[in-house]
Amino acid sequence: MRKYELLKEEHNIVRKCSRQKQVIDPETRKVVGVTPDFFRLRTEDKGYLSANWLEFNEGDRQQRIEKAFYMMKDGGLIFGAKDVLALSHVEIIKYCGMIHSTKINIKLRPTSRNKAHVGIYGLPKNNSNEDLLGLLAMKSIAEIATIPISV
Amino acid sequence: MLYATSSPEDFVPSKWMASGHDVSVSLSVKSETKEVDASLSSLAKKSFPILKTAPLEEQLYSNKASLIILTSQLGMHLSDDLKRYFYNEIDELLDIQNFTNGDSLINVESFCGFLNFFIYYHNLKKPSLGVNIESFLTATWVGNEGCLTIEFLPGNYVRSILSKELLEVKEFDNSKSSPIINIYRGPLTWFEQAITAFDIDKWYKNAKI
Repeated sequence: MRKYELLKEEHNIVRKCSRQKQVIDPETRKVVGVTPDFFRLRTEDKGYLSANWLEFNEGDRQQRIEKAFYMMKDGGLIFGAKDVLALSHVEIIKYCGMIHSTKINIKLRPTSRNKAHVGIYGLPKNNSNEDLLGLLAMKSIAEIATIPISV
Repeated sequence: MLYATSSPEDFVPSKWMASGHDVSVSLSVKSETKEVDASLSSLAKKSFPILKTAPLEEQLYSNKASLIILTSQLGMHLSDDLKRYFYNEIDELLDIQNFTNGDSLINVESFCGFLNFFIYYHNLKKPSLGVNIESFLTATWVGNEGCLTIEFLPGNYVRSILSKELLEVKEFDNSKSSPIINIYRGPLTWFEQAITAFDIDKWYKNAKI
């Protein structure tokens, strides 16, 4: 795939989720979701959210998650001790946007150290559409994976 | 001035300021809450100053200390179990081992609002706590059909995002159903009234004894 090419709808992306954005079951201490804030753009985000393309690497799902993690790490992303990986289906993210009349696209943005880096484009720049953020938090997280090694 | 300010005006959305809301005025109605609110405001002003040039570890320590002291000052209004839970959550959210790029210190005024919320609507279940990109504390309760996230803004204001799946839709699945999303922005004392139609008491409230 070439730079800025759109990811296929049947593919998946993986994003780092820090402790501050996780929803944790108070009794079991398991991470059960993410807060709407996980999808908020910060001023330094330059109009898109960073993630990694899961299908870039070969292997089964678990192997792909591990490889994505190491690519993100090699790309300079720092992981905290309680960070997790949130996996989302491209089609569902786009569907959430469509419900709120927002065109969300996920484009490949490879860097020299992370060839599977992607950007989630189309999220409201002023974070005004909280309905969309709530919907994304509720519907678009397909799986929460723990990071493969202790960091 | 090297100290990070915790003045409410720095955090309140400008549109509220423009519309003439006086955020320093307590919005609590119950007399107990009024007293607590007053004491919280004065305590918040006495919180540890955070030196922006200090190493991150020191900033986290000062922030953590302020929040733990605030929680302990309100000991009489909160159960021991809840206090312990809040201490642990604060500890985790501001632990240097967990703190990475994109994380924020917790705004003390926001934390005051959170404590006020728990005192005003007593008998609440333990939420999952987080911090949003604006440094405001978030509390999330998960129910069978969705979840409720409240962001605590300074001046006893809240912004809540409620996502609730319609039961009949849930039975058919599917990942492409669209839940009801309700957004409330306003004083914390009006929160319950604003969401009463959604019948989610059991998500965030303990059963009455």
